[in-house]
Amino acid sequence: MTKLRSPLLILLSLAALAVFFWPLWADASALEQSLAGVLAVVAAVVIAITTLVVFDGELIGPKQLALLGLLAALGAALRVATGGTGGFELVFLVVIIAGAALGPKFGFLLGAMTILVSSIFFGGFGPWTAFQLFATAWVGAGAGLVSRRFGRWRIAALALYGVVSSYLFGLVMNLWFWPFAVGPTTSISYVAGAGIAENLTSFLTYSLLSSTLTWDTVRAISVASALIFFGRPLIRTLERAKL
Amino acid sequence: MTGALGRIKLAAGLATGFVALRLIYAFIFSGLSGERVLFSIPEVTPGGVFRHITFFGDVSAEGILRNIELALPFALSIMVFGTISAFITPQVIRTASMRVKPLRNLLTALAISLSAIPGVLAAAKEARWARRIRGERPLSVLVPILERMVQRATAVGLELGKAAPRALSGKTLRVSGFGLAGLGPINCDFEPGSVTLLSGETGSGKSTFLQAIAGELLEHHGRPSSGSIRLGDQVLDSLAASSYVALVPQLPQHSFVSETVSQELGAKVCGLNIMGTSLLSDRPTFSLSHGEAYRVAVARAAARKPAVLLIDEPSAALDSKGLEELAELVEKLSASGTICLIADHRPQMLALPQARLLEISEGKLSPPAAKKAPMPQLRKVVVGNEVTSKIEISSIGASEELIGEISLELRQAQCVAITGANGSGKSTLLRRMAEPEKGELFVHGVEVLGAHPRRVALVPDRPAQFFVTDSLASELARSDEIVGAEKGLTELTLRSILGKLPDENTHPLDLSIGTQLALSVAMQLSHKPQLLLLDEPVQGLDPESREFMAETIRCVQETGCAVVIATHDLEFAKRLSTVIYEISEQRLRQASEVTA
Repeated sequence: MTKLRSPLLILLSLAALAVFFWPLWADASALEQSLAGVLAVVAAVVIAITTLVVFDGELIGPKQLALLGLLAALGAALRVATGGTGGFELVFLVVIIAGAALGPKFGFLLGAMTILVSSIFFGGFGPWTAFQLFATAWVGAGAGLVSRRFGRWRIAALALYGVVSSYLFGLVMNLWFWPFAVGPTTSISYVAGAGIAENLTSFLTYSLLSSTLTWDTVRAISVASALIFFGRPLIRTLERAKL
Repeated sequence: MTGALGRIKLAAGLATGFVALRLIYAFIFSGLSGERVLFSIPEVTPGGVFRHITFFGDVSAEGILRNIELALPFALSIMVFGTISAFITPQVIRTASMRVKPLRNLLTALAISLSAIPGVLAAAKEARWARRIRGERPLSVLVPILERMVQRATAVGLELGKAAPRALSGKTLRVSGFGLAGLGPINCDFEPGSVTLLSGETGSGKSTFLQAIAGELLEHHGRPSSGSIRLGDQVLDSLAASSYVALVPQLPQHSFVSETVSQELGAKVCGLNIMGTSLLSDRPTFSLSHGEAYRVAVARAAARKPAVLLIDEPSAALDSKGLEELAELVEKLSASGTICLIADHRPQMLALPQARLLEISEGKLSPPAAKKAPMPQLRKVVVGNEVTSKIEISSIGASEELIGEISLELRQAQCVAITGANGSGKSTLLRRMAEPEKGELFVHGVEVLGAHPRRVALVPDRPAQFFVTDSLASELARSDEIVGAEKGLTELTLRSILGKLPDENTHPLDLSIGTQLALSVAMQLSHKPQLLLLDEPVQGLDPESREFMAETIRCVQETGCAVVIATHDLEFAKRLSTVIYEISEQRLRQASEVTA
């Protein structure tokens, strides 16, 4: 089981990613699209729960549990303290720092856990929770992978990663929500058989308007600058925790 | 925590918002057309790659209705999720963490997380406060907040990993060949029922030695040591130590796992009123003052009925009444066979006549050297006649009044001491003076409003709150940068307080508590304030460092700056101040003779 776990986790993440892309492979007629939407939400929830069950065995030692719990509490508190969608900046910072200092698996779990904690404590559970959970978890896992590769340039690489991941997070979150947000009647709705280019333009128009120009940009700038100014002492603080 | 009804309302709000959002998109991107046109805005087409996209156009009744209808399933699902979540409360998670096996670890972490949030919010507030009185940049608070989380995680992990306490008496604690970076080798036996008072200079390794016996060094601080520590035949590794040894740490605030004192101690222990803790039972653990937290930590350790009880620096935290209570408790426990080891800079503060005295000096454990010659009298300072700082505060305290009618005048270069029992409000008063409200504080006739470290600088009793970098050297450099001083100013001040500097690559939090305090005093002094407030300025300092601190305060006074110190160390207060105030029965009054 232990040996199988890592490939299984990667497989589950890929499956979840496929669900994010549902608008591109689901059929487009009004009724079927809404059915496909329901299926996508259900699939995301099921994959999320499965992933958490598989990950549960990865957690060893009371200190790791405690650190995961407290950092998730920190993320959740910061998310609410700074308010609304914009509050994701500090969640990103905490998750990236933790992934960089304590490895991709810890980063993944912290991302997932932060979403769960803030949804349970402050409310705000919805069809989006499973998607948020995966998107935030990937941000943490990615930070762990980036941090391993760039010894001396770690902080610069992480700051760049902060920018890239901010936009990618916005894009994938917009992708699964796109059909729900605009419905089938608008000029930027998904049109079956209209060709990739046209659908892609429609999606990008939607994404630019919804978050890329606003939240994602604010997040990219604030996460990158926080990492440049305080990344080193923040990461060292966590590395001192010595799990 | 939002209630069940609140959550359903929130879900309804989100669902409505979602439908509205859908209509807005449909309006902007020509999605509301139909037969009965209500109004129409000319369509706009951007062209190019965007040629298939159109903006605005007809708005019809059917268009609106159709979009609402299509949006309903998703809006409904928002309501379903919201309703389900109304039943997922922290209690449910806590119960589930014990029952649902496949998710046990994650649910445990989730339960820890949920009960930690109020404390996290309080820690964030505290860090923002420290940033204001330090004059730091906004984002810098993240470093001390994160540090608090790591400290708490270490403590919570320690608590979770603890084995149940086990009774064991009549065994000797035997330390043989113990050594670690500059400390040791230490060989020493502690007989059952013995009481030992351990002294030593600031940073000599007293706390490290206690942590080693408590089995925390390797597991939780990642510091391997040599030699062995045994209790009878039992080697004290971290697991064994957790069942037989209880440690009261120097700064116990971070080590509380539960939300309130009664949860932390358990109702039964709370009822025993060890160290006066039954009076604190309803208080959230994060709101305790340093002295109160220490009392709770002593009660928690004593309640485990350990074979070995380790107490780190009690005189820095407890007032004289608390120290009396502690001495009684130690005598009672040692009579029943507990080995008690107390590390303190001022062992004479504890009335334990039968205790063995030991000292850690240059890494070795030995009977204390002959008393050094008494410190020379501090030089006199000429106190000006002019009143430079005026303080008038009508009352302090959020829900109930802690102190009322405070009126204090300070003359140029004057040093005033404020004493009072644990929890009487010394720190709260100093904090208010560092961040005064309208009309409360005037320095040289100028009103001070809010935090203004260049006029009024405070050094809090938890000095680590100021540290935002990862080494002593960068902390010193950053301090010069914040005040715009020439490089080296803060280092010079620190040198004059400590005599010698530790390795400048040391992480600020790896410095001893006494050194941390000296560092934060030096950092605040670089603001060149006109009024300096010091909260417990000698906690964790050995006699020599206390002398350096007294000298430093004298030097500060000589620049004309007035100084207020809050301390329960009456001896130190008397050495420095001609005027001593005491807080008792919610009043600040001048006292000629007070018992701190």
